[in-house]
Amino acid sequence: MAYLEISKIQFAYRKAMVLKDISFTVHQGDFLGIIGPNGSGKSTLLKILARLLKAREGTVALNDLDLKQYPIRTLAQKIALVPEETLLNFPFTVEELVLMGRSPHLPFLQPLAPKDHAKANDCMEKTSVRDLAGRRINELSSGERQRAFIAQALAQEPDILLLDEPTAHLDINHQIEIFNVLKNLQEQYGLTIITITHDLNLAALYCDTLLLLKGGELFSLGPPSQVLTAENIKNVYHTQVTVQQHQKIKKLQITLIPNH
Amino acid sequence: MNKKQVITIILLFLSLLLLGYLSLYWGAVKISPFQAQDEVGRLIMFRLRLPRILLAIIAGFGLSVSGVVFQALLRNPLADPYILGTSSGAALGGVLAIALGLGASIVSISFSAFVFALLTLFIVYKLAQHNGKMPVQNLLLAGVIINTFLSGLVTLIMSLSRQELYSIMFWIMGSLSQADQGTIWLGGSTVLLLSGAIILMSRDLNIMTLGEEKAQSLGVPVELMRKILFVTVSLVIAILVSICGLIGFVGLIIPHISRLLVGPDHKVLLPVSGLLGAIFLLLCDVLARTIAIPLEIPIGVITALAGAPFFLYLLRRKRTNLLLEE
Repeated sequence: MAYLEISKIQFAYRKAMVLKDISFTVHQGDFLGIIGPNGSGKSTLLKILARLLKAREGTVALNDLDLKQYPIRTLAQKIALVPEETLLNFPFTVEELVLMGRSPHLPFLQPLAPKDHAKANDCMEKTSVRDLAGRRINELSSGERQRAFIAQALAQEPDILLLDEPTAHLDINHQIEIFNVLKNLQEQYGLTIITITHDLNLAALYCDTLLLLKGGELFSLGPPSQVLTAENIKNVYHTQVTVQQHQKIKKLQITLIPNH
Repeated sequence: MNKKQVITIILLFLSLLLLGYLSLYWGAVKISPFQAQDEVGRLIMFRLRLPRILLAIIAGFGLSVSGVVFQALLRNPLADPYILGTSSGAALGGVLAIALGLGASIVSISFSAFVFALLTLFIVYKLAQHNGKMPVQNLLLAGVIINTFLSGLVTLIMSLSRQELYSIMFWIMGSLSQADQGTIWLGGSTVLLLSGAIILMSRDLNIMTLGEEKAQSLGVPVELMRKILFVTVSLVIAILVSICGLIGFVGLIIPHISRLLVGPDHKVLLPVSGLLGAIFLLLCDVLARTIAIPLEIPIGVITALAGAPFFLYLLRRKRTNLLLEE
């Protein structure tokens, strides 16, 4: 069972404390949403999970082994990251991009084998970008591009997929599309998904577990029904909301209440 | 590599051969390819022109490959060792070695050039960095300023050591007139070996254009690779500058045109850029030798006259997504 255990993480940029004493466990097949206001430490936490940043205190353990112990390529076979921003100065085709995801499985100088191409095709299929294989990424819509980058991450054959706001700047149809893809990956293939999101309603719809950060501290952790209470949101976001269960889909939905 | 890419490489290679052959006949003394050559004709072709042709090919190849690597590492299609001052750093190193009498051998000059190229690269890198990021405008500005400063120093040192104007021109504007067996062997083996090594790293180069975080999460040891590649390219630049002085803009325009031709995959882009750069510099040298017979124009003048307008065109065309991003 692949799982990730985070214990007593502390992190500071220069002197400013960004994360304080964070501990939690992610189980295999979880769909964890990291939520919280701007500057609450979401991205920093995600980067620590991807080992892009090193926590000042505390440990992250994957399958009981400290993340620091993993050779960089082995780690890339276990944890994949889809960062928020990607630069498009180098217009690779979708296929070239996804094939790069095979890199952690290819020793230096070993060329791509037919099975790598098959894997890449499979990943493009899963995120519905197969038809775009020959297109250049700077010619795609933001939603298509995001799905191409998810396909690339999948090509690493990871146990855990980390995403930093995969639906930022997307229209609602593309937001739903991305989350449907992620949900499918979780349910069909048992992938563990950890994603930052700003959209509390999307979080309520798709995530099994939510982690709410406030000022670098873990404010609440649990299923959406437990985390997304009007009181928690008032406390963390200083915003009035009502939280109701949607009659048809039986999921929580949050309505903002203007205070004028 | 797909069919189109393979054909492009083959066509470029054949054009280079043909052009190299034809340039044996072009020059101040007209020699017809359709007549048997006398002793003087052969001397001009094989003793004078052939070494220059070879050096043009070597330098054009090496400068373009270096440009490609700079652009990938800095994730910016406007970067190039000349614009960012690395080449001027190498020139300063070379000139200093000569002025201080550290030996006139091309190897000691190259070594000093290498040290200064690395140093310059490091300084420009640090100057351009701001809060862990490197905005494009910072990078270009830092490069341009350092470049101007170093070129000034080169001219100063040359003037103080009472060098002839020609020799100052050699360093600042480049020249292929140093072509002989020694320089061709040194330049040729360096460019061949190091370009080969760089092409072997093309998968990692591709991934590194996606950004540091993405590259690292794809299992590429970014810091290490960056160091290896910067040192490798600086060595190529240092040796080429020591042999042919400062030849600008090749490393900028050629990779750009190549990317339009075959896309950004470095496995294809590197050889295509190298070949195209060799063709370009060969043509520039033919022009340099023939447009003002009996005078010879420094080759850097030709590449600058062709390259600067092209650079401005890129800057304007790409302004929206190059200078504002990052």
